[in-house]
Amino acid sequence: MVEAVKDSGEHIESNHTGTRQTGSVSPSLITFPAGSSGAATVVYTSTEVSGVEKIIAEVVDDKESKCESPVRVRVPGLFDLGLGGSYRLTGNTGRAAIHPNNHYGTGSTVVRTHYMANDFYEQFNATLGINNMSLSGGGLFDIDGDWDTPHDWHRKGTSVDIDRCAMPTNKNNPNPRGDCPNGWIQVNRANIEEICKYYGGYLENEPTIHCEFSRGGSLLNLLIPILPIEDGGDIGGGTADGGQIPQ
Amino acid sequence: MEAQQTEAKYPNRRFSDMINKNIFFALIINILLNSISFAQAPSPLKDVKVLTTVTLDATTSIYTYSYSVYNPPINDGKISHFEIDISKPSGAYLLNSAGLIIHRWVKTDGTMFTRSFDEEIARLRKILEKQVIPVGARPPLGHPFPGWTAAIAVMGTVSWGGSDENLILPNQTLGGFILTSYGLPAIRDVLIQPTYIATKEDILQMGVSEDEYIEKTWEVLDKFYKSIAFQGKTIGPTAPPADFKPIPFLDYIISLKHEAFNLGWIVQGRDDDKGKYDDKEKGIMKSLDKKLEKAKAELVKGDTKEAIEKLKSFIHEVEALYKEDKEDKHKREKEGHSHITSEAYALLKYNAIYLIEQLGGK
Repeated sequence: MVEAVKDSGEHIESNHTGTRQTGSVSPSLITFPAGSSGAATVVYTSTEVSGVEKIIAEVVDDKESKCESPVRVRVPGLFDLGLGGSYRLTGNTGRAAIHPNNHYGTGSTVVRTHYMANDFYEQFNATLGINNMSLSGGGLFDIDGDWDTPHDWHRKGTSVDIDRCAMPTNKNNPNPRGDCPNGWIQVNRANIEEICKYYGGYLENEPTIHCEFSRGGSLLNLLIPILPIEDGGDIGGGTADGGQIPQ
Repeated sequence: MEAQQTEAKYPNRRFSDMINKNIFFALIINILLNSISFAQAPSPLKDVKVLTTVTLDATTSIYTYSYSVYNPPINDGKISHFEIDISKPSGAYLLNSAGLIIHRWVKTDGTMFTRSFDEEIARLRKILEKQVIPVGARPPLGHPFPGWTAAIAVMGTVSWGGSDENLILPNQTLGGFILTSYGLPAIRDVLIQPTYIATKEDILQMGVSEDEYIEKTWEVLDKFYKSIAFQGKTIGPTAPPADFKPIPFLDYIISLKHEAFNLGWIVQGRDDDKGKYDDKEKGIMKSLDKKLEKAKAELVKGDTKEAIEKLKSFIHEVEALYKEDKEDKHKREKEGHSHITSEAYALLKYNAIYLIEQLGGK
């Protein structure tokens, strides 16, 4: 059987509704002739939810005899955007959030996001609000905290949401306010479209401004369980060896 | 109490008010949805014209490429993006970058934000997806803030971008897109896009499945944005081969001439072509071909001096055709076409001059 480790993968379960999806092992039941010994292999398949899961093996007739092997499921190679002088981290952040750390991206996305915000800052004297990116382990970004509704894209570290209102650094900023609150300026749509393009991205229409950067490859190839935290055997290509089953 | 009495007297009034309010709000929501969420994608840009002129500063050896973009009235898209490929060909000579400045944008205080090419490349090195040749760039100036911006884009292009206030509307022309380089004129890809932000519906309408939409992300957006863009050719800088060989380079000039013809930059067929130039049958193309073939024959024979003379004759003809064309504006307008455009002129003249210089001529 497979169990998820609570709150792993930046999914704070107390702020989620519904049941967390877990991966599966196949076969789920292995029968050994009485008195025999040896090893058996099971194949682990992850879901799109990143985090840590435990593959648990137990003897049906003897619940005391069991072992477990934790496996970390994630899109590898994502980095924290971190704080920056030319942007603010916005979106669903904070201690009570569903996903407290959601500003992760590939190395390239992180660099491009910095440059994009710097360009905007240099031109408009205002800080961009960098909204949702990806979770630290990538994968399903269930924005409503229900293990289901996906935040389209935002799964593999190439997506960046930008707020439509920017915060000027001076009071008399000449840029138009548009529909933004007093003291803020509206992000020039065509201008941010171009800045996103300069760094190899494209915009997609969302309530915020979504800039999607290139990476290549498919999510299914990227979302793989990687090295187990403890003894879990060799893992790769979306499956995992569940380790030796005690007899 | 009073309100109750009113209600009793006009039992249906509140209900009809509610209906009116609902209709009003429904109309407002409908307008908002139409204008924000479901803005219709512009039709693919068609027949956009890019006019290019090139000048060479003999003291600095820097070429200045000036572009203007015309958005014809048949389009409904407003142009916000213009880019030219500046990727470095494999085996190309390492060009100088001294004095090449990227003028990125005008700041809120009216000053220009600039970086040298070297500074810009050092900054972008980690994320640059293609090697590029050194260039300077400047956006069109004199527009209300925030105006146009210029950049070396990570995909290996020089890109110019407009803002909401400064787009190229249908039936408008905008000039002032400037590129500087030590690189010779070459035929380069150009991509022009209308301003628009793609919606999920746009992507799905291309026949993309929900799974592809989520998994292939950038690729499907790239496909969509290219589907509404105009892609064509213009001239832009390139670096000559590091391992320079005269005959292959002359073959390259011949191929440029043929491609320029195919792109409509060299037009033959005017009656007065016949008899004016060397060949009475084929006009300009045949005449230019002959001169280049003669130069090649001399190179093959090893007579560099004579090859240079033939190349000079070729340049003379290119200049004469272009000059005549510029001066005879009335005739050109009447006939609706040119002998030779500014693109073909720059392409053929400057590459031939470079070949002469490499052969030791002046």
